Amino acid sequence: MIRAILSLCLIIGLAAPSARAQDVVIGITTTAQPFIITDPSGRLDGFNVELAKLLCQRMARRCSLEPTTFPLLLAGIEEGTFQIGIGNTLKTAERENKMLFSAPIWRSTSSFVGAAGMAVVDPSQARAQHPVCVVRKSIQETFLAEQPGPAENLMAVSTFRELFDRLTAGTCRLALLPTVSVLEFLSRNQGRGFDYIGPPLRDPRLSGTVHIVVTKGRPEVLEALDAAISTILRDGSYRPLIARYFPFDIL
Amino acid sequence: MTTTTAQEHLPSLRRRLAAVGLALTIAVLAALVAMTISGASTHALIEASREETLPRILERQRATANLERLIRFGWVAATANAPNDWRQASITAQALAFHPSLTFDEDLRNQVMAVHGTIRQVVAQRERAYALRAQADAAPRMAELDKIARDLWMPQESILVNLQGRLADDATRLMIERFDRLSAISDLTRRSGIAVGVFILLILAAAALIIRSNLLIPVLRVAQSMRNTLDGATQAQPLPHPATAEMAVMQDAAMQLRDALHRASLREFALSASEQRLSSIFATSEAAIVLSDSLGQVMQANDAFLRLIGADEALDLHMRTLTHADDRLRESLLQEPMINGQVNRYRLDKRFVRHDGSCIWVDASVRAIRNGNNPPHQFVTVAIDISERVRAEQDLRFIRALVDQSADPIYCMDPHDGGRMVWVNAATCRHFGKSAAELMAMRIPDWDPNFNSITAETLWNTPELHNTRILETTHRAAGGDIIAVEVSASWLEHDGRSYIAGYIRDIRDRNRMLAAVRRSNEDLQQFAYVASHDLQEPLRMVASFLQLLERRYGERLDAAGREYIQFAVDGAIRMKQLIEDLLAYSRIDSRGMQPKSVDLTKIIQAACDNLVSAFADSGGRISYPPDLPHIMGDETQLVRLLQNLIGNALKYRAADRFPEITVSAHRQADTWIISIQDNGIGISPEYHDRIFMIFQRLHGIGAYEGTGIGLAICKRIVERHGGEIWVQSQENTGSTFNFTVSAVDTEPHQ
Repeated sequence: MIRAILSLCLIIGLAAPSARAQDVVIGITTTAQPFIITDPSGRLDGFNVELAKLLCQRMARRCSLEPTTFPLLLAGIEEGTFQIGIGNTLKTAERENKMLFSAPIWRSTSSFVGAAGMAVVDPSQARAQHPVCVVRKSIQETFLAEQPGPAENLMAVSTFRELFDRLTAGTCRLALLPTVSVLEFLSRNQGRGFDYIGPPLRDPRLSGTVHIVVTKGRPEVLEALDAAISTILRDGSYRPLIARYFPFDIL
Repeated sequence: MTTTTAQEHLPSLRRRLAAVGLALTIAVLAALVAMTISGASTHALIEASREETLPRILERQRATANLERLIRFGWVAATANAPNDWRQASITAQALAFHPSLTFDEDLRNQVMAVHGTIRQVVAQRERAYALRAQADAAPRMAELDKIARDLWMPQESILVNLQGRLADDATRLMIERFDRLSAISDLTRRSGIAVGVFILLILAAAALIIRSNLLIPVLRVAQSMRNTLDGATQAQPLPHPATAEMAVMQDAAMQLRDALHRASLREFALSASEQRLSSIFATSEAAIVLSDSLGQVMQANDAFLRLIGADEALDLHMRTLTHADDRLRESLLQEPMINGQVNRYRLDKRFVRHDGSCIWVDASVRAIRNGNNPPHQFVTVAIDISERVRAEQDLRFIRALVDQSADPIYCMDPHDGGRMVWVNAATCRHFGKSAAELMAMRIPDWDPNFNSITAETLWNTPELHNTRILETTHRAAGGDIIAVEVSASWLEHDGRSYIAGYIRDIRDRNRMLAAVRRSNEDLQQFAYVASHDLQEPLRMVASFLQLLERRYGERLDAAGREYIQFAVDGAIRMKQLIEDLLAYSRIDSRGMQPKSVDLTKIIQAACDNLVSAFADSGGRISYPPDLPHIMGDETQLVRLLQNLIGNALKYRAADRFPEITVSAHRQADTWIISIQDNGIGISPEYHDRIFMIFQRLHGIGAYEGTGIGLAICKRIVERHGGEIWVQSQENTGSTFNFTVSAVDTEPHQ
């Protein structure tokens, strides 16, 4: 009997490596707070980081988070460097050709941000009238690129930090950003004197559901990811996470 | 052929069950389709609820929650003291107000935008009030502006609360609508399920009825019938008319099985009975039965066989050693063709050697038991003790030799073939001077010239009445002479046929002797008559002169002389009586009358009339029944017979009692036995024959009157009537004289 139990344990022990969680590399953008927070020691934290950990736990996979910029995130997903990309990505037809989109994780709009008291700007005239900063390869860049105006008025940067620096420095008078992503900036001293300029843009391309992207060659990862999203939505673990980082329900 | 035709006209159980199965299948399929449709509808509704209703309800829940936050942000914007607080609340409120969670509904969006605009106004008032903080006496203005800000905000709470209520109502309505649709589908499913269930139950009930009536009950009855058959019920329970062809086949098979079982039972019973009979026959048969193997070793034998050979058991018996040595060769010759398969049985008379060494003749019938054409492996011998038959045959041969050696011709003829000879002995051949073969072809007229139809009638009929008749006739004997013969004719029955057999005796010498005797008798009778008649005259003369001498000279004679004369007279008288009796005795045959029917009562009365004085002297009495018969005889002689017997009864009476005489008659075959019983002195048995002899007396002269010829006359009269007379008596116990005489319906013997 004891010998049989030992044999069973041995078999289980040998089989354990194959049953271990597969490693998944998650690319995560160093965007604005509260989506990601980097403490002085370099440790990552924030909504997207906790969400990534929560999903990995539900998927029973060991994940490694790789901080990156939004343009590199999209490139890494396309190339397969990252199996999963968390960068508050809106779904577009062009992107759907290059990557897989998970179930929506929250919804977003896009707003102009500028100095408080600034007159409301017509989106179609914004580039023509003002230098506007956007994140490179973002929907906002695509939108503004389609609008008339001098090319130098469309200022694309890689990170939100860089964008907010340029905005506060006066390099660009406006920034077109996801509305929720600006909240933390507006609440900081750096953002004092800045405000939303007018209501969010009503162009459907600039608002909608935000997704996690998956490299196209790993549909099973997408399947597991969607299952994990469904699980956290049902088991009540997602809403507390939102409430911890946002002042309202962003779903 | 009739059953097959009937089966062809019966409906098929398979078709009925197939129809029921088809109906049931259709019903089940319909139920499955209905359930599938219902399930699909339910599933579609659930999916729709999952895809549409639930997100919409969740959308409203999130919107409600965000409206609550918007209320809080507005309140903070309107009432917070720190500028950063109301500024941050204002910014967050803007982000929230334009968030998609509050823009899915146009009315909601418009009202939220309005509230958001109010919040912007509130913040503007707060900014103006905050800008006045450096001015002197700005507090009242700041308070006024703050109050304006709060007043602007307060109604917005009610707007947002109302929006929350409407969203909650929308969520409730959505849920109710969805549940109503679910309820409708569920109700439809339930009704469909009930309808399908009822339909299936109806089909199942119909199927149950069909199966019960067409399959279950018939099968149970067939099973019961078969159980009854197996239980040995003699009276078979009739099976119902089959409802289907299959049941007809099954019932027919059951009936055939029952018949087969019945026949098998009968065969078994017959076989058992046959075995019992055979065993019983084997055990109880008087015929000896023995079973032996091919070598003749006895395997089994019944009691009769053991008794036959005088053995106690059948062990170590061998048929060859049991067979007498002189018979073994004969039996071996018979066994050989049977062993070769040419015959299966043979029969022979042989001898068994019994255990005590004696021999017994048996009629042995031997049968071979063989398998196919193989040599016999067993033999059954049935032996019947024919010792008696063999002995009878030996006796017959001996008797036949005796008959053949007889000096008298002995014959047997067939009366139904004109009296043709069927068997003769050697003496008969010599008598007729013919060979036996010649005699076998001859009939009575060929040797008896006196034979005619009357003779034939007498001959053929008489033996049947008297069994044996002896007649005298003439034969044409050897050499052609006609000679007188005495022929006996006895009626014989043999093998279902009647024959006449007897002897033939040449009576020419006897006739000559009889004629001589007859002449001598006639001469003697004539002599006796003449002598007795002629002797009476001188005797009367002697008696007369002696009486005359006594009358004339009696006085001159002395007493002795007179006594002598008296003796001489008595002797003469007695001699005269003797002569008269002798004469009467001789006249019985010569003076007898032809017999005729006479009344015995009258005979007795006539005898008694002649004995009146004797009755008077003796005081005797006679009695006889009133229904005495008529008998055949000579009335005069019968009166004399009765008179002698009754007179003797009176004469030989006992001294101490009066004579009591009883006459009775008893019928025996064709004769009457007449008995005369008295209570007299009786007769000792040693004298019973002597008393019927002539002139025989048991008592001295003088003791009783009479000459001693009375009973001799009685005997002669009875014999003349063809009867017998005898006495039953003991001394001093009375006597009974019996004689036989022919009844009226019978001719007296000649």
